[in-house]
Amino acid sequence: MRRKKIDLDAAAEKLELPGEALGALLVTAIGKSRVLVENHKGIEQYSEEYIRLSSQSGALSVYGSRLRIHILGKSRLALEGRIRSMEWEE
Amino acid sequence: MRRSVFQRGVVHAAFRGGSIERFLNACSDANLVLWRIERTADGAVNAYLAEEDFERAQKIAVLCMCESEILSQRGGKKDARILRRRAGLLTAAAVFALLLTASSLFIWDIEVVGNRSISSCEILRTLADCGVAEGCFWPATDVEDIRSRILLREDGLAWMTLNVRGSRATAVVLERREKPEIYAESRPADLVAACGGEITEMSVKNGRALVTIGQVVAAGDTLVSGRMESPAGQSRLVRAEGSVTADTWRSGRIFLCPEAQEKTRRGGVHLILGIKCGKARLNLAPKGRKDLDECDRISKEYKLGIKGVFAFPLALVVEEYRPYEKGGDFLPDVSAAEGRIYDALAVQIDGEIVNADFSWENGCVLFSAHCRENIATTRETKDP
Repeated sequence: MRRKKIDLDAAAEKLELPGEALGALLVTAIGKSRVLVENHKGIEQYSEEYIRLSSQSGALSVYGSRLRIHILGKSRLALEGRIRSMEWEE
Repeated sequence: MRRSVFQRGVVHAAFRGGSIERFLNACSDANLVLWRIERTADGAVNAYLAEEDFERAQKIAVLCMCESEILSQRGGKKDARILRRRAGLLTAAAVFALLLTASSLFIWDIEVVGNRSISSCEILRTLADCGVAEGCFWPATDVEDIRSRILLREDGLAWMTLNVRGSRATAVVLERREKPEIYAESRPADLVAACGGEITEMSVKNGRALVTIGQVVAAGDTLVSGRMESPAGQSRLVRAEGSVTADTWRSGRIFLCPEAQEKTRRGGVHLILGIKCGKARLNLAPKGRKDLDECDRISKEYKLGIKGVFAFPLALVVEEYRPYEKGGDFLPDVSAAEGRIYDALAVQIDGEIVNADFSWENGCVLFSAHCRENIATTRETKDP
């Protein structure tokens, strides 16, 4: 049986809960040089210029240069380097 | 207890392979923490991880078809192995640190500051009598109690304190100042002669002169009276002021230790080295006391430590023995003695020495001096 994809944002809104409590991707950017990503589901691609992270609601791509993973823990990642842009993919 | 990263050990490793992302995700799923992950030019990933996690990371790398290589390692088992090899050195360092800590609880150096007329030795002796000496356990000393006891014993001290820093003690003292003579200017007084002499000059600022120039006076004679007579026959009392200069003659004899014998040096200087550890002393070159009779001993102590900061209970003692022979009766240096007597007399009188004669007789210096000095001294008049 095919599982229906849940819209986390809509569910969080209905339940009046913060999205990250239901596993939505939480991205915190500190200036242009540091990004903290929580609730990710894994690294899909990683290079010095590009990193793509998967999540329940899609994928997050971070573009920049000299990208380095400062710390990698369970479903949590801190990225640092010269961050140019971030892109969401459904 | 949570161990530090250094205690746990840190491994800097390189992971190479086709699916590095898969390896990183697997590590993340296995709860392995990796930090400072960098992608290198050859496609590998360099990362830091705890030493205890490296073995698991290696297994994960194999499953992900990656190779692992240790680039560097610090702390943890590796350093523990190095430290184990130097157990003796570590023990010595620990013992030294322990001794240093223990010795800092005892006083090994005492300095006296602020004294001028009272000698440091005298103050150190008093401190020793009160329980503050080299080797004393300073946390047990009560500075307030010591201060009270020392001030009671040393009349010449007005205030003192004891500062202990590390194993050094500094006794800061303040000597008592002589209280100046206090008199009320309104109280009537006469000027009287402090010693006998022939008056050569007078200068009366207040009062009535009872003597004239050329007159010979004896000690205690009134020179200027404080009782002023008015033309109406009434008298009033004032404080006589002025100076009366007179020619005086002083004589005396100074005894110069006739039993002393003159020392003449013989032979070279003998050095004896010793090490002082706490209160105990170890002579490096023991020498019989018999050989050291009739020697002048000059002892110097070089303390180990940082001057003004810390002192260890170790000191190098250097003793110089300079042998001498006792010659005939001591012939004092008469001219030096005369000079000292002259200087002492010049300080004592309020004037100048016109001339002085000295003679030597039976171990004594006899002197007679002609002086010109102010002989007037104030004597308060008793209330009528």
